[in-house]
Amino acid sequence: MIDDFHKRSPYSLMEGEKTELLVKELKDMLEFHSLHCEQYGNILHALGYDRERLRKIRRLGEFPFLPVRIFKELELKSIPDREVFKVMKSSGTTGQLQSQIFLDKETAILQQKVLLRLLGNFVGTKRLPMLVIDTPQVIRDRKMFSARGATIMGLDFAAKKMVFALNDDMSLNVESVQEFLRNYGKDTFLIFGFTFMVWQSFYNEIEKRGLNLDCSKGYLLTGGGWKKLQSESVTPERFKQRGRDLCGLRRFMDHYSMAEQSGCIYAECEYGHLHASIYSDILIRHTEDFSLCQEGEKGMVQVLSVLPRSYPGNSLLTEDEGMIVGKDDCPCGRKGKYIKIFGRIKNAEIRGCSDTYAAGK
Amino acid sequence: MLKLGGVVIPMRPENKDLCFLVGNQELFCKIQEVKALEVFHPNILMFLETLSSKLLKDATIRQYSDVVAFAFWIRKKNLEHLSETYKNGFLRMGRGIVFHITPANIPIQFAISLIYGLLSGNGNIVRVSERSFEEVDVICRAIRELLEEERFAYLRDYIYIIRYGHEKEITRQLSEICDVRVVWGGNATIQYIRQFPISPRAVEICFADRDSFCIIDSDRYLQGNYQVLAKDFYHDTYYVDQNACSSPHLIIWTGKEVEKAKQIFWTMLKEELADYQLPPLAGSEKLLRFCMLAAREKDLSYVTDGMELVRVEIEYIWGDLLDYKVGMGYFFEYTANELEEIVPLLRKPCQTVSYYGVNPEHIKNIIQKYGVRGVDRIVPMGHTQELSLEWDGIDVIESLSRKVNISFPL
Repeated sequence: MIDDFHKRSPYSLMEGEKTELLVKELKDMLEFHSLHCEQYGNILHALGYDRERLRKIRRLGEFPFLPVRIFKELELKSIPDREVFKVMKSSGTTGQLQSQIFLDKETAILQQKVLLRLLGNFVGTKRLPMLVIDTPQVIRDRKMFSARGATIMGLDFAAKKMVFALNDDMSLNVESVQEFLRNYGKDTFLIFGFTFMVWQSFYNEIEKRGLNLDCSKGYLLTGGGWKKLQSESVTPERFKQRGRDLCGLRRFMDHYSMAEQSGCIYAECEYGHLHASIYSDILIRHTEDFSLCQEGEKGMVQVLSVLPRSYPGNSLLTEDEGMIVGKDDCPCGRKGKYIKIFGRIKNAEIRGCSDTYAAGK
Repeated sequence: MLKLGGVVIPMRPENKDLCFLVGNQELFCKIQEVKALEVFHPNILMFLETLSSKLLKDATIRQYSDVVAFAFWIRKKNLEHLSETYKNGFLRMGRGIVFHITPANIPIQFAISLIYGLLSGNGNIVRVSERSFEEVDVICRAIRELLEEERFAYLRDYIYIIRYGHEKEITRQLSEICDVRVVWGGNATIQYIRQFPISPRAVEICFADRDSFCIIDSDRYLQGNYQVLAKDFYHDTYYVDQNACSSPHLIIWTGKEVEKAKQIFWTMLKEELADYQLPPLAGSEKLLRFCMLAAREKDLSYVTDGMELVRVEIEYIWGDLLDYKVGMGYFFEYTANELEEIVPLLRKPCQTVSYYGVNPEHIKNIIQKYGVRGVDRIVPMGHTQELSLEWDGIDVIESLSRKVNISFPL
């Protein structure tokens, strides 16, 4: 029962106890999806997971997993069409296939509830005003949810008041930002943005226009966008330093998350570690045979979450590279695993008679 | 500005759009004037013979067995042997200029395409992909050095190997001036290139995406040399990441001892894989493709230990099965009671049927009897990559040349 999780503080369980709770819930969820999503049932069957085998699972590593890209290829849902509350789409680059995640009301609410609980553990349970480094346009069309929009909408629930810092043309709306800081800058507040946009549309603009903005009471929440910054050789350290220099930012909190498992974020503590909560966990696998990696060994990230009720996304193999840094002993006091994510695994070029020009040009 | 016959190619000196690996801009202007040669012209054969020995003396090519095979293939003796087929009393001349658009991921293909153009008596503009390969560099260097020699000066107008990005303008102009355009796929590239018209008299040869499978008789296999056969099969598959058009993606087993043969076959193959470098995301790609198929087809089973060799056992055959191919070591397997069960697979995309222990006549009979639209080659296992003057059922010498009909008064 999901209530068993809600009853506990989200980072309170040691490895053993947490695994027991997760395994029990995940077994139920996988069985539910295999009965209610025919395609998923077929896949588990073909992979050799019948009901008996599912029921015998004792460790997280024994759960079957789907490659995360399958949501770009198939419409997988475990609910009747009339119960679809919203369809979340990933922010694939133009021309690429998008993931489609079907949410019913229960799953959508659950995702928001958990997100709030996890965020609250870091920034306090009080709802705070939030400055979003993005344009309001990104959430305007609610039927077509992008992951960027979805993340922001998810946070809307957690914010006391939400103010967008950018105009529709992505330029900085200086008046809004100044007004926000006048009204809320004296107490704790949140700034949210994707790293690349913070760098480009916030930091660069502050510098260019010589603005004097005091964000020393703010928490800067970031999520994703590192790849783009990496290509400009911006390290997380440099990113933080620039925030400190330009507007007095002191508190930073990055996180790892994905549209396919919304709600279960892996948020960064003051020691720079990304933490798994009791609602989810991470396994690291070798790319050659999918066997489990040791702590401290880099490999492919598998994510397990108890939140997906309306689609079979509880156990997914991502194409991200990560590492378990440690478990139960982070100096910040949070229990469970803490991890590091290195970004997407680079694929090697393969031989073959396929494309001369690389399609899409 | 570069004047190319009647066509003007804008080329500023600082513009690096067009880079010559062999040939130069100055010469390139004259390509329209190149004389057509008779097919298998002795000068061409002599040049290729010299190129062959030069390559075989180069120590750097030893690690590239495809370059070695290529060097052997272009020896005079071999080419003279191949030319026999075309000695039938007719005059065959090159069509003029062949514009070759060659694939990014099979490095040797540009050279093979060039040979086709030369043997059939044409001047050649070969576009190689922007990705750099040592194989390409080695061959281009050798050609360049030979062309610098005075004795091969007459061939300088016949070979241009160029590299450029996706500049439409260059592709458009080269398409306009060529007499034959050869496009090595895939399908997306062919579609893309088709937007650039070729001149009314020009012809085009395209090599589209194809798929292939293999038939093995279990009883005959069990009498064979397991290790040699494993190497043969490796060469057909893993050597090119199982991604050449001729690489089999499906094994059809016949005979009585299928289970036993399978077990030995895959165990032996696994031993060959010790040095195979599986691309990091290949495993998840295989799992993904398998899941997509499993979502809609029942009665599949997934056999793997280690992601470099994934087998999918199937209980029945359907026509678009091979649309679910992956490559890099992903095999469908089927046990057939009758050879005729392969008929649904012999649709248009089917290129090569390789075999072991099966009489190729039987496969031929099926093709004739059912009038299927696919299958261009039936070759023994281990020979799917063999170089040939035929490709996808097309005789390239014939296609790149014209036959001069001469009648005398009676």
